[in-house]
Amino acid sequence: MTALRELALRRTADRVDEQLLAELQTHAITGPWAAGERILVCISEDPRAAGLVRYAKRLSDRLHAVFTALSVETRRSLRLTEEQRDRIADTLRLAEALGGEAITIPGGDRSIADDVIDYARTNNITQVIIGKTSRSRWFEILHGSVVHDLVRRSGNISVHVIAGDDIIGEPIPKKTVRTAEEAKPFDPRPYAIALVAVAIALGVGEAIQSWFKIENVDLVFLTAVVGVAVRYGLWPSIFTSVVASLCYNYFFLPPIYTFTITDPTNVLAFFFFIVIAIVVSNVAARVRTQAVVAMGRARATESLYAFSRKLAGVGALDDVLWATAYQTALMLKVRVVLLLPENGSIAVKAGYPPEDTLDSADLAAATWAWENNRSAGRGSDTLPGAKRLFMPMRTGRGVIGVVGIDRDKPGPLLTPDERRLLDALIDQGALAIERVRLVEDMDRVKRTVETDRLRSALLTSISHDLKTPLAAVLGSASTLRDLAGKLTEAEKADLLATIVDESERLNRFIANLLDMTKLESGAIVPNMSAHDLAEIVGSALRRANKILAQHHVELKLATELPMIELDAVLFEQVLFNILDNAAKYAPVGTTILIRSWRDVESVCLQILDEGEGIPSGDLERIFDKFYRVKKGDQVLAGTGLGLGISRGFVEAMNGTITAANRTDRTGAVFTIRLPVPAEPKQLDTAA
Amino acid sequence: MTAAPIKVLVIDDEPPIRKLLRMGLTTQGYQILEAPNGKTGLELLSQGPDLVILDLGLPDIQGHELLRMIRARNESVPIVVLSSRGDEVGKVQALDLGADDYVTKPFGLDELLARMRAALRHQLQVHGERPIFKVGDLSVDLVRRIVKVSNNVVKLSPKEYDLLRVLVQHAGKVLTHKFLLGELWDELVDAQYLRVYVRQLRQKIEAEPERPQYVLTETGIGYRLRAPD
Repeated sequence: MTALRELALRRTADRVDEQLLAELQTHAITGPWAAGERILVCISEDPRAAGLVRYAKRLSDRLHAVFTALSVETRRSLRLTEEQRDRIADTLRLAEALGGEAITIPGGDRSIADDVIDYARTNNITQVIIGKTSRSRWFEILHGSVVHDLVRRSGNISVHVIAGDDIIGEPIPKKTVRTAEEAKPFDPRPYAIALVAVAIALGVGEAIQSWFKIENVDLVFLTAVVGVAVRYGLWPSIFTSVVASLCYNYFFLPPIYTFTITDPTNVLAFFFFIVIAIVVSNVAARVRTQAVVAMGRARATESLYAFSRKLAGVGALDDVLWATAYQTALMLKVRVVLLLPENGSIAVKAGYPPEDTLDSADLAAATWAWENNRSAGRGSDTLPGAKRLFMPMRTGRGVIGVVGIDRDKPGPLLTPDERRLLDALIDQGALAIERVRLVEDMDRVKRTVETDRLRSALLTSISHDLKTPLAAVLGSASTLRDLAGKLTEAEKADLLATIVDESERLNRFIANLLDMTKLESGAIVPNMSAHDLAEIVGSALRRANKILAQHHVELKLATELPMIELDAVLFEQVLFNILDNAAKYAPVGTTILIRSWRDVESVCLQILDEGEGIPSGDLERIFDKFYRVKKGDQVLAGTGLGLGISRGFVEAMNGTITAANRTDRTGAVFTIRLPVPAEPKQLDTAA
Repeated sequence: MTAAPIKVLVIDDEPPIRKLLRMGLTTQGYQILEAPNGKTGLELLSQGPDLVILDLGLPDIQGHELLRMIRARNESVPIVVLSSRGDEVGKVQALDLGADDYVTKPFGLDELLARMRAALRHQLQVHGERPIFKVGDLSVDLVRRIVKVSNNVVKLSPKEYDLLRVLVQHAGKVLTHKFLLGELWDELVDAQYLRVYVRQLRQKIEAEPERPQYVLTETGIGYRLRAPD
């Protein structure tokens, strides 16, 4: 029995997990998965890497685990072609689109396998996926094999070695955009400085030799070589090596002032000098290149991070669009337009610098990019005549928009690095846009639910409150028509009064419904101006005259109150609703007190009745739509809208309204508080 | 009142309302001309009605536009417009365009008759003001500039008296803020000035200034002095 129950529980848990996972995955949300299995997939420039990522995704789905795509940037990475770099970047983006994490780490001096294992251990990775190598035996003997090293050192981490051919899946579309070669004009400065460095070394060498009588000054030249290598990289340092070795030979190796060497030991020394110089410059230059690359990446990462933080902070679509356009324009120094779908086609939604319209060629290119999920326009294969280059913005759920860029510079728009940065920016923007959309969708769903609830309450209310007075009117009118001859004059007058009263009630109800509808739809825009509170109390009382006929109204209004900023029409309605409420709930013949006073920065107006008061649990709820306090076992005729409207109106006029019970006796108190304008206008009324 | 019946032109597209007005006004001795739309209304204007009742929501011509057209053809005929609740802006606009008063739908016949009487009275009085105006305990002698409440002389400042004089001259009729400001200052002055003077005037002539009986507030529109008894 226990076992059976456990089985059922586990089955249920599995099901819930599945549903949650399905939900999270459809939205490509990196969700709070259990800290069970963690999968790492190793990415290289190999075209089959995309297949590995897809495999990792399937495996992570099966194991309910997270997966991370890892690319190790080594010395070798610097020698990759642009196409290969693009492929790595695209593969990482694919991993992100599939809900995984994408990481690039710099390789150390050890083998890639060590880097991978280190990362895996520090991040609690339990499974590593790597592609089967297609390299020759000889290559492996010379360079070692990452796969073999990985398997050997993995310890308790499982390693999946995946054969390539059957997992290629759909290839990532090839870039169709021509990019600018990174133009590096020849800079003679480093070479000039190299010559100066050699000259200084020569001088120092001569000095050392003549003062200290030391023969071997080759280390002085090596210092110059290393210095140039660290500062200016490979080619200037090799140039320095050559010049330094020639100088060394010419000035220090006998016979001096010739390029010949007589002593065989000196030949050997000279040979080693050249070898060491070149090796040292190579090493130093490589260190420098890595440092430069790392710095560049750190800068790009930092601005991308700042960008994503900025995007995370904004909630409105317009702000996200603007931030994306602005950031892209800033980082790539280009002009940017963003287009989103609208009524079946796409239209410009944001731009930096601001742009509203596109010419027809650009619009055609943008539309093509949108429809085909490929780049179009300037520098691409499609519609290259357009002024801008248009690229689709993709998320896990498909294309959500198009970004267009242009630049004053003629020729191809972007360097490969810029192109990759742009991809990253667009991805961030696309994700942010999708996030805003999802939030909007959720809001809409919530609103729909709320609207449904309102609608049913409305129907209940209408069916009761609309039909009751209508029934009375119809009944009285038809009685008058059919039985006129048999009724006394008093009875006729009574029926006529019923018709008039009930019609007025119906009219109030409809007015309330209209007010509430206006409030709900945000159509209430208060027309604020300075008013005398007492004047509006007076006009509200005049309007409520008939309702209050059976109550006594007492006024205790403070004189010398400042004029208050409000909308007279709305405020009169607020007072009318509260008075109507008081008349309904306070017994006939009792007093309704209206008093006002100044309280520091606000003016207070209170309406106190002598009814039974409000149940303490209902003090807030009475302002809810369609809520009515039960009096005994019956609900009084009313809409349940009046107080809600009052609150909505008062708040629209920057005031507050609260309900409480009287402390001196039973009865309800409604307190309205309105702010006193900062500087009440002084009027010259002596004229 | 003259022997000939007063002709009232009713322009409203709803048959029940026209029927109601026909029955109600005929029993009061008015003669009715009915127009179900603006076009017919303009045609019937040539029959020289003494007063026009105009519904602002007509199917063919926009209410305010029709009002403008009527005023272009007949400068002096009193016009009472029928308007819906909550449309204070529309009412003020209609009054500024030359309507004499308004009644908010749904309305009682008594209310409409009172408005019509005020509009017609003003029409008859344009050429000769009554020397002494009386309503309730209030009496205003426009020739000698004396204001009395319950036979006690009330001292008003010049501006307060001007305000009361304008109200008396249009007694029973609603006067917009804009109109009053234009009469007393110029239209550029803030309506706040008006509210301050109204408050001062009420304190001098009303028994209960907080519940005025003479100078009545038409919220969002303007003021109205109670019509003489």
